[in-house]
Order: sequence, then structure tokens, then C-alpha cells
Amino acid sequence: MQVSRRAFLGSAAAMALLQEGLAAPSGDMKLFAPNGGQAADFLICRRLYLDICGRIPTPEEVTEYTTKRDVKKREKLIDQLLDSDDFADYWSMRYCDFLRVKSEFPINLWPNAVYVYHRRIRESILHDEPWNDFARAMLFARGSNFRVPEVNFLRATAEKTPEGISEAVSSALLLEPTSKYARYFSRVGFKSTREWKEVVVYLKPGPEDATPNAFMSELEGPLAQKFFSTPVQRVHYWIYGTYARGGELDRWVSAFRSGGWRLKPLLRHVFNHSDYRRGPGKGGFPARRLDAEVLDDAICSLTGAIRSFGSTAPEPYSFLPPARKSILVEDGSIASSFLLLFGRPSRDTGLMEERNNTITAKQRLYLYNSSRLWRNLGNMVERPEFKGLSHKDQIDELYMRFLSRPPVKDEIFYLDQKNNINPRDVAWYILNSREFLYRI
Amino acid sequence: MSTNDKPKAGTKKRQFAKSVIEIWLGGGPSQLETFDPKPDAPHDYNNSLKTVKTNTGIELHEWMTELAKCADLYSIIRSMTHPFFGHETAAYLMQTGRNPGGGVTFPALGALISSSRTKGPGRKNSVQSDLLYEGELPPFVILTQGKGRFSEVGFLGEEYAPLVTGGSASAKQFEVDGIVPPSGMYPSGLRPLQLKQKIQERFSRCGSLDRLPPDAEFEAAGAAARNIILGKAASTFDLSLEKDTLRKKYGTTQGGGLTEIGQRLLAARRLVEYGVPYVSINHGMWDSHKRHFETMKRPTQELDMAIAALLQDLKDHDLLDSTIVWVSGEFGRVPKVDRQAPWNGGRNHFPRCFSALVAGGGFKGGCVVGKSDETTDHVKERPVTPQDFLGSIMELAGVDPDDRLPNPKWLKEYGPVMNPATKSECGRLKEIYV
Repeated sequence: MQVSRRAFLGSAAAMALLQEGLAAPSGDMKLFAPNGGQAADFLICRRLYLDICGRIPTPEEVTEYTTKRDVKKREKLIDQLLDSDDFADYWSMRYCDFLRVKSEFPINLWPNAVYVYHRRIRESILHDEPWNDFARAMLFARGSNFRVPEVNFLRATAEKTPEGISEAVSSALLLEPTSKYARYFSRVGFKSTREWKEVVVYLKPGPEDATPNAFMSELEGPLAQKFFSTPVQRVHYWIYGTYARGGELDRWVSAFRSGGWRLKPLLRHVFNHSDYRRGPGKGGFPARRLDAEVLDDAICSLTGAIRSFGSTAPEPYSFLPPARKSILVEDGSIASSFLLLFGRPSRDTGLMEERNNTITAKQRLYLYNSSRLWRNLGNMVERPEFKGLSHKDQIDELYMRFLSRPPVKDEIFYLDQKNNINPRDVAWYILNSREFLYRI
Repeated sequence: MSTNDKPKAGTKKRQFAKSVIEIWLGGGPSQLETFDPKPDAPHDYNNSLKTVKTNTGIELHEWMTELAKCADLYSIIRSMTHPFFGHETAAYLMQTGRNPGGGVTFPALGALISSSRTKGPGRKNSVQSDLLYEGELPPFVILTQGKGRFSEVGFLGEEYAPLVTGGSASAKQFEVDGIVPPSGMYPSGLRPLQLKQKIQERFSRCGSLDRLPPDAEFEAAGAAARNIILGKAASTFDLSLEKDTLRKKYGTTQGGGLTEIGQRLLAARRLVEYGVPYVSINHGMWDSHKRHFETMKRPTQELDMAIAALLQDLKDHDLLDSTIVWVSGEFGRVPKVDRQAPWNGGRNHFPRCFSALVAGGGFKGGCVVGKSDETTDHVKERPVTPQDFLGSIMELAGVDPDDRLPNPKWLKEYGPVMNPATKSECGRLKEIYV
């Protein structure tokens, strides 16, 4: 664990500033929403890192943000995060969910195809490819699943029939799985080659208007309204847990249009909007339990734990490097018991509801009492650079790392009473709090 | 699932099984070296190994000496059959009763039965009221490692997922991740949780440490988890509470600990005694492509000992009549031994004809269903499909296999749950229902 003493704790003035601003009677929401129901700076910063990058900010990053005196600091942070690799990593995971990127049953893209397809999707997000260009590339592609990544779009269905392809395509591009566009996919054929698990997507002879290309004209013509609001609805669902309606939908679509149907301008609109600044709690900004992958990555990076992904299900067997982030596991067929426990989507249907972020007793059982987790917390506090800190600094450090804020007055009061409370116990306690487990 | 309070017209009211123990022999054990030996077949089929006569006259393979002593407690099916040769597809069929393919992943038997035993959101119907389960442990437990998503909840979603205990089955103390910490001691092993209580006690004087206002869902999940840890449930896994004489019957290793399978089955009995409706033992080591006879002898003998002990133990606890035990893998092994390199006496996958065992919970003992040919190459009489096999277990567990699956969240309704085989010679195992 990297210790942030120099960056954060060294700045006594910054610490005092934060604490004065944040200290509040317990149960009082002022800690999170100090002025007029608007979220505190540290919370905004944490939200943005979680929503854009899929990770908790480091203490250095929080401190830099909270201590900066700049009216445009939020806007600047949003720009900076949207340009980061972390953004491309996290949002390509979300895209891969609805594009059903998995090597094995029931989608059967096969491993090599999964890797090239994932890379293609990530590139699209990194370089902010317009939505219609992305769809066109997917629908127009023909060739090998290993060499032309986009052809995997038409293959990502359990039923490789015109109806099955229609359902997969309309689910991905219109948020409405239906077989009624089967006609456009009636000429799509698949043939294997002499290379193991290579599949070539081609067009069988037939009428010119019965092709995926013709469906693209449909999307940009009669279906345009639905087609262009699909990414908007997905973003709304990811951020707020519901689909957008009425005037809000119009405003979001308008931002999407004026940004050239690109994701980043839409996200700039969303994250800069005053709605995003609301404090948490009843009627405020909706809380969402962290995604399985995000929580896994957070716990691993905080405790320094290393877990490896391997799977014998996709053949050839897959073994990913030990430090691989969960959000970067390309293949939906490769999972871990942690990811399954915390509701990572199976990518069988590509529907938004596949991801399950509800909290369950089994999850809390794991967090309370998992011996592995307990061991990891023990290793974390035993690291020399952590052990070398004073007890007070250790506690501050844990709060900053886990919750993106220092402990407030009554927390400090309590921990002072409890002389030399084991920092592992404190870390365990924080890890089990809703403040840590949720994006609030 | 439908309400079964009223028996179907023309049938007597049945006492349904409360619990099910599934002993899953992943990889596919050989039918010849377990329940369907062929002593008269050529050497290349049976390696000249012999049989042992059971107390009811049935013959088992000579490695199964303990089960031979109690054949009145179980029945054998020697005519299991399906067409899938791959582990994943075959396991999916043997777990869910569905052919692989199609756009959705169906729930396995364990999820179907356990979810019918609990009340919950989205569940339209339920089983008869005395089968409902209200224990603190989840209604579906897997010892010790999960079988993967194709053999679990399918589209039912995480809330129906099994508790996968994790932990090392060969450790002296059964270590269950989340329930029994590595130190294994009760209750000092629960220190972290007690600390939290202390912290909260202290803070009740000066306010709560939790900064956010309470959230009902989060609190309920936490309370349920704490009940498991601090309540009676945790001691269910404490096998040291059992007498040494009984532990020995389940099978011990040279070091004095229980064998892996012995430990899992003993834990399964304790779980069933506690009331858990579905316990699955994931015991996968049977994929004997190479040197079959050298590698399979000891595991088969350990399995034999542990199952025999489990059946007797359930009977001694008056649990056998209310607990179904079923034993199978996803398929069997090729009858003719492959002596070529690199197999050197191995057996490959074989779904066309293999064996399974059922006991208790409304199944008669001492019977044999179906018949294989001289080498187990083909089913000779009374084929049993996975759908009919699993459907029989469901039926005896009080869950109607002909009913339609509940409509889970966003998916359309699927049914019937277990498609009965259409051929007239097939059908559920009614001949061995009590």
C-alpha cells in the first residue's frame, strides 16, 4: 500500500480545513452535504472517480481536488478523467456487458475473438467514436472473427439465426430485443475455417435490401429517435438507476446530438449538471452499491491483495496476469467467486437488468467474516510503510484511503478513547460501512 | 412452483422429502467400477476385476464393499443416457434438465428446489407449508467449491445462489469462509464481529458511527448475516461435535483427519439436520482419461465408505425418509479401456449408458432400475433421461416438475420445468417410489 503521508497528512492546513468543513453531529448529513443540500467536495470527487473510472480516488487525488480554489475545478476534473485510460477500461466493461462479450456458452464468441473484440470496443471508447459510426462499423463488417473484430457483433447471440441476430442487434442498438428485423439478417452466414474456432461472417446471395447494411439506413431513418436515445438511456440507467423520461431525456439527447453522437460530450453534460451535485440521502442523489468488479478492484488495491483469474472453461485455457483489474477481464466467461457473489452480469442476454447491485446477506457475510479478507487487512496494516506511521496517522490514512475523507470529530473522539485500537479493526469496520460499499 | 397442498386426483397423499443431498461426481465416474460391474466381459473392459455381492443380492464392483452391506437403503439406475460428450454441456443437462443451447441459462435442480422452499419477492407460489424453510443459513449450500454458473442458479439471479462454503475440506477443522474463521474456534473466532458490536455499544452513547441514515435493505442483509455467524447455524459446520466413532465411519486419512468426501458428507448430514433443503457436494475428480485403474481405486473406496456412512447416519437420525440422496456425474466412462499411450489404461467420456444412485426421501431401497448390455456400451432396458431422473427427485421433493417455471424478472415464462421424455419406455422413476 502506498502511503500518502507527504501528499496529504503532511499538509496540516489542508487537513484542518477538511475537518472543520466536515465535522458534524453524527447522523447529520452535513458531512456529505455541507451547504444547501449540495454534495461535499470530497464526495463529488469520489463519485466522479467511481462513475468515470470505476475506482476510488487516492488520497492525493482527493486532496488535490478538495483543496483547490478554482470555480471550474469540477469541470476540469471531469475532462481529465474522461481522457484517462481508466475511463476507457471501465466503460468498455459496460459496453461489453450489453454487447455480450464472452467466449463460451451460450454466446460462444471464442477466446481469441473476445480479445480482439474487446480491444476494438475499448478503442472506440477511448477515441470517442460517434455512436452511429460505431453501429455502422459493426453492421457492415464481414470476415474472420479473429481478424475483423467487428464481425463479432453479429455473432454475439446464442441463436445464430436471422431472428436470433435480430434480437441481439436490436437489444444492443435499440434497447428492445425483437425478432422483427430478422429480414435484414436473413443473408448473414457463418462458416468455419481450418483454424480452430475461427468463424467467417459472410453474406449469402439474396436481395440487396435484406442486409445488415440496409438495417443501418433504417436506424438512421425511421428508427433514428430510438437509436440515438439508446446510449442516453443506458448512461442514465448506469448513473441514476432508472431510464430518463420527458424533458430530461430531451435535454440529454440534445447534449448527445450537439456532441456529434459522442459519449464524452454527453457525459460532460451529465456530470456537470446540478443534479449530479445533489447530496445523498432521501430524495437526494441515489446510492448504488459498487459494481462487483469495482468493489473487487477497490479491495485489492487497498489491501494489496493479489488474486488471479484463470478458467478452464474457454478452451484454450485462459490465465490472466495476477494483477489484472477485474474491470479489465474481457471475457464474461471468466469469473471468480467474488464477482459471482456480488452480481456481475453473465452477459447471456445483454440486458441491463443482468447486473445485480443489490446487497444480500451472503455478501455481508463475506464482508463481515471472510477469513481471506481478514488476512488481507492484516497484511495491509503489517506493511512497514504503514506500521511506521503514528497511530493517529494510521487512522487518518485508513479513512482517506477507504472513504476519501479524514475522520471527523466524533470519530476521532471515539478512536482516541480507545487507545491504540488495532488499525485492522478500524479498516474492517470501515470496509463494512455503507459509505464504503456504495457510491453515494 | 405450484401449490401441492392438494394431492392430484387419484393419487394418495405423499409425504414429500424435506431435504436433498446431491453428491456430484464431476468429471464422470466409471459405471463399471461402481454400480454396474461386468465381471464376465473381456479383460479390456473390466481389467479382470471382480464384483462384490450386496446384502440384497445386487452385485457391485469389488471396490464398493461398504455400500454392499447396506443395499437395502438405496436403489441403482443402470440405464442413464443422454447424447452429450463434453463436460460442460453434459453437466448442464444433468444439473438443469435442459439441453444446452438457446439464449438463457436455466437454473439447476438445487436452485429450483431451494427457491421453492422460501418465501420471497417474485415467487408466485410455493410448496406446501410444512416444507417451507426459515433457517438462518441459505436454503442452498454447496460444499465446498462452486460448480460454475451452468450448474447453479442460471437466470434466477444472485439472490437464489447457493452459499459456497469454500475452505479446505481436508483441513482438520471445517473452515467455511465467512462463517468459520481459520482459527476455527468458537466463539473466539468471531472476534471481528464482536468488536463491531462493542464499537456500536460505545457509540450508542454519542451517536452512531454510521454516517448515513439507515437503509432498510442494507440493515436486513446485515442482520441476516450476523444471525448466521452468531446463531446456531455456525456450529452446524463444527464437525468436532460428532463422536470419533462416527467420524471414523465416514472415512479417515492416515493423519487422523476425515477424508475430503467424508468431511463433506458428514457436514451435509449436519446441514440437513439443521433443516437446509438442498445440499450439494461438489466432488469432482472422476475424469480418468489416463491410468484409470491406478488413480480411481482409492477415491472410489473413499466414496463408497462415505456414502454408506451417510445413509446409515441419516437413518440413525430418522432423516433418511425425509431426505433424498442422489449420486451421479455428468456421464460415465467408455466401456473399453484405452491402453494406448498417452492414455495408458484410461477411460474417456461416455454418456450413452451410465449409472446413478438414489436413496431415501420417498425412493425405495434395494432396487435396480434399467439394464445395460454385456459391456455397458448400450442401454438394454428402461432408458432413463436426465430430465426424468431430475424430475423424479423434484416430484418426491414436493415441487411439481410439470409446472411452468416462475417468470423471473425480465424473462418470459418457460416450462415445463422438467420436460418428460417422449418415448414410451422412458418416464420418471415411479417404479421405485415408495
